[in-house]
Amino acid sequence: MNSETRIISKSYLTGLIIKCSLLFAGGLLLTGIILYFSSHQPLGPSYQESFARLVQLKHEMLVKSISIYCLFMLLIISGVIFITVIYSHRVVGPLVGLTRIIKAIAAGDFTQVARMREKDAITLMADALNDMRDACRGKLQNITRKIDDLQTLLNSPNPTELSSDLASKAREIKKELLK
Amino acid sequence: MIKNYKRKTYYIKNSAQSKFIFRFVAISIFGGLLAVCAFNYLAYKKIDSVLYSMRMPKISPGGLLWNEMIYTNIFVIIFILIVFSLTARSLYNKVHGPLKKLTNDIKRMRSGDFSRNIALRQKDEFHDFADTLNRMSQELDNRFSALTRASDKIIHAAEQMPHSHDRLLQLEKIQKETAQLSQTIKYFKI
Repeated sequence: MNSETRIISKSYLTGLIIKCSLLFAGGLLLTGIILYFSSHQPLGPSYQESFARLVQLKHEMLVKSISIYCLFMLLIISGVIFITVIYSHRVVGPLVGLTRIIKAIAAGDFTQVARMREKDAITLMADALNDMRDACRGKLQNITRKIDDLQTLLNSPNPTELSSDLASKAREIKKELLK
Repeated sequence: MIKNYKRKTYYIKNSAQSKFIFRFVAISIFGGLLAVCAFNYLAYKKIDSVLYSMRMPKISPGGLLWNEMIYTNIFVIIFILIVFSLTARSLYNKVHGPLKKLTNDIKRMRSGDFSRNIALRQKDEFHDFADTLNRMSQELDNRFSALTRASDKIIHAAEQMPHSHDRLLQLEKIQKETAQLSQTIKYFKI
């Protein structure tokens, strides 16, 4: 295996960064637009009036901007939570399925297949596991056949004459095991 | 057989997921705070300068502060983009290392080597998963060594048989071990 092979593809990383950043940028730009329209009446007409409005604006500014920013930050954060949950689940979610299969193999059941969704991030690991399962399965199937052969030899009329055959069958089994 | 195939739970407790989500949320909150502070600071300066300039522009306050707004937001967006990338990259590396190691270990097991345990570093994620994998490896190792031992005994008995004066005894041994073999192999569902 190439040491540079990535279990999780680069597109996973860029997708995550781009989506979160776009969400953030969109949210902030909307905040700007809302703030702009929240005080869009022109100043004037007289200097005093304009001055009074600006002073008032200066007083209100903090509360107003904080409340608008807070509103949009809530939206942004819920979006970020949504995106990160989805993305992180693509990595840890499949692990749950793989754990189930590994437990099945530990209990001697080689019939379970690791299934992955198209977007899951760790398909390479699932492939490796399926590969291992297939290899073990093939090995065990061969051994089963050879044990049957051994039994056939033992059931033959005079097995005591077949010692070399018995030994070679047993050696084949051992070779299969160590393969 | 497709079961449990639909995603049931998107959030899995006790996993790397919470860390992942928390970091991004924390960065977003920090970005918001930064934006509010920077905007207010720039806006106050602008309003003050207009108040002291003795000339009133004929535009709305929103228009007056539009530049401040844009500068602040662009600055914060770029800043957040950088922090997001760095965080995502560091989390990615943290997750990728152990996953790669686990995958390589599974590949090692594929070639029949169940002898070594998977050792993750203390700080790594996925310890539970590695434990499960280790248990499987151990279980298979035990079963396979039982098979190897039994076949060794058969080889030994069969080699002894021609020279032994009690061939039936050796044959009995072989029969016993073969029965042992087929019983062990029946444990596996293949």
